[in-house]
Amino acid sequence: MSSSLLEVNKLTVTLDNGNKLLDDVSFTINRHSCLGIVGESGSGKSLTCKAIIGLLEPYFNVSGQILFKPQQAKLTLANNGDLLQQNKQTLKQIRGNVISIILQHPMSAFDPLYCIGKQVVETLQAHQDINKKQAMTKALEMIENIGLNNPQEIYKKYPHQLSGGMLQRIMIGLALMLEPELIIADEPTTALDSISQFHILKMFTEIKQNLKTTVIFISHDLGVIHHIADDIIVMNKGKIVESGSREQIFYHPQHDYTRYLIDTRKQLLNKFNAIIGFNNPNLITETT
Amino acid sequence: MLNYIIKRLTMMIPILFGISFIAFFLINLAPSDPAEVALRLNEIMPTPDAIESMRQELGLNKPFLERYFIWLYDVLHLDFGRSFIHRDRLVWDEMIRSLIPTLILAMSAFAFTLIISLILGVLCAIFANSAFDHIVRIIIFLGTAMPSYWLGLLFIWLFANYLDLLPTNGYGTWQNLILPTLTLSFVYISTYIRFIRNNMLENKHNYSVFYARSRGLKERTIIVKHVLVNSLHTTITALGMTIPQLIAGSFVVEYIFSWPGLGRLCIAAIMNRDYPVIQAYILIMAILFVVCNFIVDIIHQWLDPRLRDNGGAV
Amino acid sequence: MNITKKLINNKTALICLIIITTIVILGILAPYIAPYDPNKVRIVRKYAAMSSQHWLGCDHLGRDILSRLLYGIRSTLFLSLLTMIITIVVGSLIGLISGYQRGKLDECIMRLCDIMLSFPSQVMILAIVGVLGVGIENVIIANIVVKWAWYSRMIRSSVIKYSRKNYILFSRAIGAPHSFIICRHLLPNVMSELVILATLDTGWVILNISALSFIGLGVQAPTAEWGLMLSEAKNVMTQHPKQMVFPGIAILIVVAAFNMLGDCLRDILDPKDQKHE
Repeated sequence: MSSSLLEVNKLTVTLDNGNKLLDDVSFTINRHSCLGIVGESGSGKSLTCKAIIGLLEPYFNVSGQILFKPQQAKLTLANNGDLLQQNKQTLKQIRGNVISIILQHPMSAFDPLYCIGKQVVETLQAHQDINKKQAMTKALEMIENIGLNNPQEIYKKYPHQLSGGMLQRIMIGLALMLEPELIIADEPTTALDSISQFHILKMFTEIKQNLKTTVIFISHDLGVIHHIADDIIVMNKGKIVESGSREQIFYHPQHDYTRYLIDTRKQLLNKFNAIIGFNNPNLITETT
Repeated sequence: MLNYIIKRLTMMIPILFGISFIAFFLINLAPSDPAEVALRLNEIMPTPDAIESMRQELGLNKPFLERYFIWLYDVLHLDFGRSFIHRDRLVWDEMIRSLIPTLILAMSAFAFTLIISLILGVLCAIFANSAFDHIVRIIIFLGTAMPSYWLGLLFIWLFANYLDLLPTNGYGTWQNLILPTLTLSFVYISTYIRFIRNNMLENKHNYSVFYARSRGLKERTIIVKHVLVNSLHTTITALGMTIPQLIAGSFVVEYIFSWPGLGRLCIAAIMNRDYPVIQAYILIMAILFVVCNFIVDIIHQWLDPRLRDNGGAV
Repeated sequence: MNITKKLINNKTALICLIIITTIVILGILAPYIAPYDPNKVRIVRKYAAMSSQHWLGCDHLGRDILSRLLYGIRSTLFLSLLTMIITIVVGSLIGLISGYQRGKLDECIMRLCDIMLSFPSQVMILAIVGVLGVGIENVIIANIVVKWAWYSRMIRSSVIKYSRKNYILFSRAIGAPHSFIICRHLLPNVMSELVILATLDTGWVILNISALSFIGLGVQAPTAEWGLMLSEAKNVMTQHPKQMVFPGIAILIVVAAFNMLGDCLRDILDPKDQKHE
């Protein structure tokens, strides 16, 4: 089954002074697939996902369509499911519940003044009609599921007491908890050390295999994208330069910019391999 | 946490010593001879003999350091000597008698400042750039440029003379407290509305607030739990430090409303060159300041989980 | 320069500047334009209402309020400006010495600054006036003592910050005298910060000096000073509340102009904002 879950049509974001930050961006994501978006910083990757969850700052002018077709019966969307035209209430129901997001900086994403458990519980309670005790049990289960020891203790920890890798896992766990139809991961590995990166990528692979969720995975790191994405979009300066399956993009790139990115990566890899003296592309998650 | 408190307390000892020394030393800088001043104030001709005996009585003949330690010993026993004007009154008794009205005024102004600036500050942040926000900001602007004594006079005229609602001066009932409180807190309210408003607007752009939004939390939860509480943490330190400032800055208001507090006592003492009273005022104010500083620090420490762990270092 | 242009383009800043300049000029010209002698007592004209002869009326001693306000610029505003100038000079000198010498002296000065900055300024002012005695000179001294530390610390930190910069190292290497380095390289860098702080502080000092005069610790009667005028108005306010209107408005306008100008200057000069443009 490969019906589309999300269709972005001619998404354009401009500033008041006429600067186009996103120009005519269109793409489709199929259900249960993983779409990788690659591009340098400032190419509009994060802006795209902010637009999808409806959290663009009010000073942006947005046009186009973001058609979302969730299977959940409980959610009825007006205007053919165009996310840009939903009211605040619906968007709030969607965020975290139907579309969840995983952010780049786990260390600063959680509020430093509340323990982790409380922040998990408040998210659960925002979307499900459960009491505090049930929410706590669920939170503890989640912490155990993502492979952290001593869930009771982790629950009571404050963000500054945990490592970036641990927080990122909690963020992923939290994103999965409400069984969303779409997960947007905005550079989830960039701010982490390489060992944590490896663990996080493993988690994503498992998510893909077991849970049958749809994932948009944003990264500037081709190695990571190669590892995880089924289809790939290459973005540059607010435009989509090229899109296609992983094989197409990596082995038959059409556009100069894509070639440039892949060549750069190859050079880096060669250099890296020459130094390290071993060759296992699956392990390589270097940051550039 | 306990370690931190003990560390802070031990750090306070040298500071308090330093303050006591400064208070003592300052008065010795005075251009006029205290003995002569004391005599004049009691309308005794300052003949050389009289001055000599007064110097004897005040202990001015001993060397400086010896006098300091004698004074310090007395002060530690709550003996600040006697006022020059009322030789029969102990400075300590006068201080305590005036301290209470000043503390009442400062506390009431603090409570008023806290409540009003919190409410208005939060509203301004939530409805930033609305008509309400603009009006409040104009009032804030006037508040920082308004001479407090003029404001006090305008209040007296409006509420006491024109509307005949409240007493102009005096002490004892709650009606007496209203006008001084309003006058004293006006400037601070302006400062803190601005502080809270800007702080909240800044916190609204925090990464963690963005994450809270993307988790689909209710707007109210986000504003209260993740914006306001974070802002309050910064505000509490600043607000806590206004207590000593309110106590110290109340002298103008006390003067206008004839409030029988420390500030008015000190002004009278300055006019009369009543050095023991001035000395005691400086010392008590400085100690209040250090103690408030300490308490605010501890509270801040205790509230912020990040500071709680590190014992002070961020 | 660019800053002057920006200042003129900013309407609010321009209005504030015009207000301040006008008041300063009025103060300078007070003896020529004031319609009456500010201290001339004429009991017959006691509490005279506003009229073509006395635009703002007369006070309880029959003195012309407008003339007193004009002369009051000299005591209130000029004394505040004088205080600020001395504060800046003294503070900057100490800051320069501290920043250039470093070592023990620097350490001592900075600890002293810490004490000054952490102590409530109101208590400090009362303490100093209490020790030195009542009078405007002592109030000015007290204000300087309270404020210098801000400037010393600011100047010191920028001296330390900029003396590591290449062009200053270069100037030193080619043997330029200290005074040249300070005037040519350091001052322009500190200037914007200094101007913002000084402008905002001027409003504070005006409020302070007039408040102390109001209480009776500063300028003494019969000198025309705005705070003192309010103090005199206070004594007769039950019968003649009108007398306290104009001195209060005068203080409000001047302080507001300085505060607003300071805010505008901060917007204009703040390097953070310049990056956005």
